[in-house]
Amino acid sequence: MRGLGPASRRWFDRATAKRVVGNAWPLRLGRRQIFILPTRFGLLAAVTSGVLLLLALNYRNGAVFLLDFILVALGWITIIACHRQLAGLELWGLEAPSVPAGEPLRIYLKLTNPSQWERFGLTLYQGRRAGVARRLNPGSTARLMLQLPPRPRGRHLLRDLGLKSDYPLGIFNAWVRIGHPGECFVYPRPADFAPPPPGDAGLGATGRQGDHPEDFFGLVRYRPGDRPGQIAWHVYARTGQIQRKHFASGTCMSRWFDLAEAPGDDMEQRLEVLARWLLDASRAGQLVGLRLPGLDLAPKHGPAHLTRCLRALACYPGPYHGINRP
Amino acid sequence: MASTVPDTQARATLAVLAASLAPFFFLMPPWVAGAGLLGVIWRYRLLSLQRPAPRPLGRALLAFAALGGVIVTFRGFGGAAAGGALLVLTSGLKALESRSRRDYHILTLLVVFLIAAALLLNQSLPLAIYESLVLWAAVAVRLGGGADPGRRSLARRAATLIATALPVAAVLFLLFPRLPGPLFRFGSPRRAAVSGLSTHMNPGSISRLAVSEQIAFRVRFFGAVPPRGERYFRGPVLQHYNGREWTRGQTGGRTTFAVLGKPVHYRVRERANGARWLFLLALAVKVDTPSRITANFEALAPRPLWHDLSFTATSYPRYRAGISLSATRRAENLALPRGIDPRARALAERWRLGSASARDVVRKALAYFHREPFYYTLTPPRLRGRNRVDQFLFRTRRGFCEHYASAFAVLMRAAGIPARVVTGYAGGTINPYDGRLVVRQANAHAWDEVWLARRGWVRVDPTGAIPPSRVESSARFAAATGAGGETLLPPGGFTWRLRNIWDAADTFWNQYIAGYGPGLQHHLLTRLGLDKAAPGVVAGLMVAGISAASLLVFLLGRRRRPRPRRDPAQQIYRRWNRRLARRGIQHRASEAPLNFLARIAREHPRLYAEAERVIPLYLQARYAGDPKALAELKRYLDLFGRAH
Repeated sequence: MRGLGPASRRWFDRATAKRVVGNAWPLRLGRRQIFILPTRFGLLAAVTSGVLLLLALNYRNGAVFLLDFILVALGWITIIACHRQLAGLELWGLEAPSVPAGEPLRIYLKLTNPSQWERFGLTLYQGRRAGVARRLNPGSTARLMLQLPPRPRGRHLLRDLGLKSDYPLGIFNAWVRIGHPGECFVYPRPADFAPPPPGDAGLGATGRQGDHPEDFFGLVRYRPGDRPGQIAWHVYARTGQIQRKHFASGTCMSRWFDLAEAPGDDMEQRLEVLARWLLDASRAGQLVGLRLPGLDLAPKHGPAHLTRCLRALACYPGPYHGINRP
Repeated sequence: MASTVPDTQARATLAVLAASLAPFFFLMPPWVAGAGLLGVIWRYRLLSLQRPAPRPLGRALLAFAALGGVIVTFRGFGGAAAGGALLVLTSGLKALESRSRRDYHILTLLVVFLIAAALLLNQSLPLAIYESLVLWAAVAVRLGGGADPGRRSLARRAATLIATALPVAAVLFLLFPRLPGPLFRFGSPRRAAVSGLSTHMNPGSISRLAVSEQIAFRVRFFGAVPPRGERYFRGPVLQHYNGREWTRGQTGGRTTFAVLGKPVHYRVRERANGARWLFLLALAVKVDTPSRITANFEALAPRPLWHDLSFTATSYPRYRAGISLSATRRAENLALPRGIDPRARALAERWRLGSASARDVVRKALAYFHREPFYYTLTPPRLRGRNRVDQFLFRTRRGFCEHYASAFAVLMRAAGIPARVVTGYAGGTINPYDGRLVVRQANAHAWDEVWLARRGWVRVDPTGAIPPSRVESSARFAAATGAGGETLLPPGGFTWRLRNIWDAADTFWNQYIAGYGPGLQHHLLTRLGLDKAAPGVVAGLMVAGISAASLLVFLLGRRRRPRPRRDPAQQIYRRWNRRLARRGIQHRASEAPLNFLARIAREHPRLYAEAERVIPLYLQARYAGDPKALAELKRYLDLFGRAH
């Protein structure tokens, strides 16, 4: 596929649009959905074997004939072997963790090898970008990863994803196109320096004061301005990373963060501040709630809720589609 | 896409490239392979040091130096050797600058070209074996593709892949149409010096071959192998003697012959030797390769044999040749240089006067060699100046077949009997593994032919008159004259057997793979009944063959792994369950053994005693892994089986 130009590529995609795997996970890769074409190296190898054939014919050299026919046969067998790398695999879903703007996107494809033979060179790709090739033992499951360049804030549909393998010799490439687009939310990059969230204004009254108001809650990354007394020096001595001991007062403290209260010159900056507040509060074990114009996410606990909040930030001011999805 | 290659992959590719360059040390001037290898080693070193390749300017200079070297060494770019040299040097340079994945792709293809180039220059079995190992390694490296799942696994997978490709390759190899001639000429591949008989004989010209174990040709007889005494394969016939050496002299003219007895059919595979001689048994009447048979019954190919050549021939061991000898030919075969070897002439004259017939003279001469202290040796004293035959006959008396053949011919001519020297090969060894006669350079021999009235030319081998007690190089003597042992190696030993197996493999390789050409292919198609078939039929056969071979691979690939064997205790238990089912109680899939036991007690008390014994034993054997319980269970159920 790499050898094709954009126009022929579009044509090819249209022509093969029907041969896209599946509507619902898990998808089982059938024979008819797998495409296979020689790679550029494969074409070069074909030219090589043609030249060898001419040499053998010209010099009537049986050994070179044999060599050449072994190469041709290898190429031929490779079609079967390459096809077998994909046939019968089960795909269990695409997954793309939300990332802050400016960081590369990572897409994962979970897949299982239900057959009796090993698979090699499995690669998740999109267009010309390909992830790292992996092998998959019989009966095992793996996640293939594809890293894509950073995207701006927002919800991104990653179309034209596919799974390919050019094992064994790299002269043929077998691939399937995955019908589902991958979905990835890029939330605002958390501001490096954010003013503390507006004091008690958002502090909920529901909070039940804990027995120990200043419980050690965990370690957080050091930021300039933290008191030296809070730095976990023993951790620094051990790991070389400066971290701050974090003390949380109570476990049920809940907080509302409102876009209207976030300072900043423009919308993006304010969203960045909001992201920082959300992350910090969530890390501190507080229940966080998010209030955006037209959207209220009541304070809750846990990574799923945080993700929902961040996705809401990612989509703002557009409609938020994935609100009820995990 | 400028993606880079993991270091392990890069190193492995470079190592394979180095392996494919190695044979060129022996195939062309060593500096070429050395330079190519230097590039590869340099790159390897740079990889280890994490340093970049030399700059473009430096590489361009190296490329020009390489080109210059090739022009100087090979006087241009023509010919396969120069082409091979360019390829070797290109590989070195390409290795030096290789960085990206694409560069390493190209290196892999260069490995393939290097393998082919080496085989073009020398398609011998040892090199072919070596190159197939290189190909194996190259495939394994490509399978690796960067990830390193262990060399063993790669080697095994590569071997499997190549093995699955072989049936398809075999179909292509056998059926792909072969053309009789070259398509175009790059200049013929240059050959290394080849040994073989030359067209003149002087002392030393055959003894230099005597120690060569190189194979001259192989013969497959259709029918019985002729006895050793008849295995004389004729090469150049030498009629002209100038006092020092024998040469062919006049070869034109016509001759007559008559054949008697039964013919011998045989197939010769002659190794490339750079000469035109076809070595045939006397008297060859039919050869199925273009050739010319001279008046002296020498067979000549139209061109020197730069490739191995196979041909079938028919000879009649019993014959009358040249019965009517023309005056010129007679004079030619009686001519001796004026005024040399007076003592030999005198001796011959005495024999002639004292003999009733020419045959008598021959007998006297052979008796003379037998009786007088003549020695057969590979290291005879040198003969100098005029009268060399006199020196040999009366002073040194130590010589080699060429000394005896030469002296004998001179004696015969001096006695008025037309005589000539025939060179060729005698003897040979039967390889027990494929039944072929193997004739080596060590079997090179010289003998004589004398012309007798009403018999024509008759073969006489004076070397054979030397009694074994006076043979100093006995193994060699045996090889050349057929007296005694079969081969230079003692037969039956390990080395001897190994050599025979190797010879058989070598023959097979040379005849059926290296030498698979239009002739052999036609032969195969004839066997298949397809010699007159349209090309489409053969093409169809090829497609069918490839499809069949591919289907085989496909089906083999789908084959499931054998199921893990069931636990032996479980097997016995299941068998017992089936037996119980026939006797009225069915084990339920949901039932644990002890539940089953309880149910037996309830429903079939008659079987309880047996079950009470079997089930605890089974539990002990299956879950505690107790071998004694297993043995007990087996024994008990066997007894039980017999009792009922």
